[in-house]
Amino acid sequence: MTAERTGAATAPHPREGRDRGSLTIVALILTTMCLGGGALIVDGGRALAARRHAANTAESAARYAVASQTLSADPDHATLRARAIEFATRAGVPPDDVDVRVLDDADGPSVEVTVTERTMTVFLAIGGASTMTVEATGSARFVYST
Amino acid sequence: MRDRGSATAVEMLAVVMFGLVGLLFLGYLGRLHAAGIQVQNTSQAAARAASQAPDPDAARVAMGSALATSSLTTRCDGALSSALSWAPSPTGTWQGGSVTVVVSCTLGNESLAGVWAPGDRTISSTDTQPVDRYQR
Repeated sequence: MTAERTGAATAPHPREGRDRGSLTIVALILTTMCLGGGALIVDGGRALAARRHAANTAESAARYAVASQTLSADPDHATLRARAIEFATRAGVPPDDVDVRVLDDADGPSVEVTVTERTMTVFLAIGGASTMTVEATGSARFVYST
Repeated sequence: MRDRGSATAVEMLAVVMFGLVGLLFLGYLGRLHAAGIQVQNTSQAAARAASQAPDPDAARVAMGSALATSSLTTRCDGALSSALSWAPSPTGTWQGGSVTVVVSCTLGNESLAGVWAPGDRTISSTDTQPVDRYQR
């Protein structure tokens, strides 16, 4: 940050040089703030969207597993697991990222599905974190009523 | 002393302009993300509505009704497009089947940026729900 001087004054201004480059620092701070804001909005938004998709898939997979059973027979645990994984695969989640637990509670059997999703980052990738992992659990219970 | 402050004023102007462009960019990203959430909400609502229908035809009607009452009808610049795929169970019945709804919405960059901007963006969302006529 220098100013061209005219006239007889040839001696350097007392403050010349002291604030040289100060606006570069301001620009650097602004750029960092913009990138930080972008990271919050874009990568935070992607993480929230992935979390929501995982939760929706987990809940739906649990309901699908329960709804595919006949009410006349006891629920088959292996079939429940297979159905939940089948639905999650239809929703775009790889089978390895689906964990299914069949619980036998006092209130009756229930299915608990945990879905793990990985999403690519945009701004955080600059800092080395290229993927984010989110996890969500959903459950459904057999309810027999007339 | 004639140029005292001139460099600071000019360069501060550049920094302020840079900051304003940065703010507009962040606003654009925020509105884009909000629009994505709206499309995701609509696709989920449409899929939930379709999943209570007994057959694909009734599911399409239910999906259309859900889309017609959504906020996307006024938000999208072009026509709101949608597609439904019905996957019945291996026995052909609704029990054990699933329904997938894809909703697409085209938005002008100008409406997202808040200032003049060329082009547009198409946001799509897919949602799959188990067909379950007994759900509440």
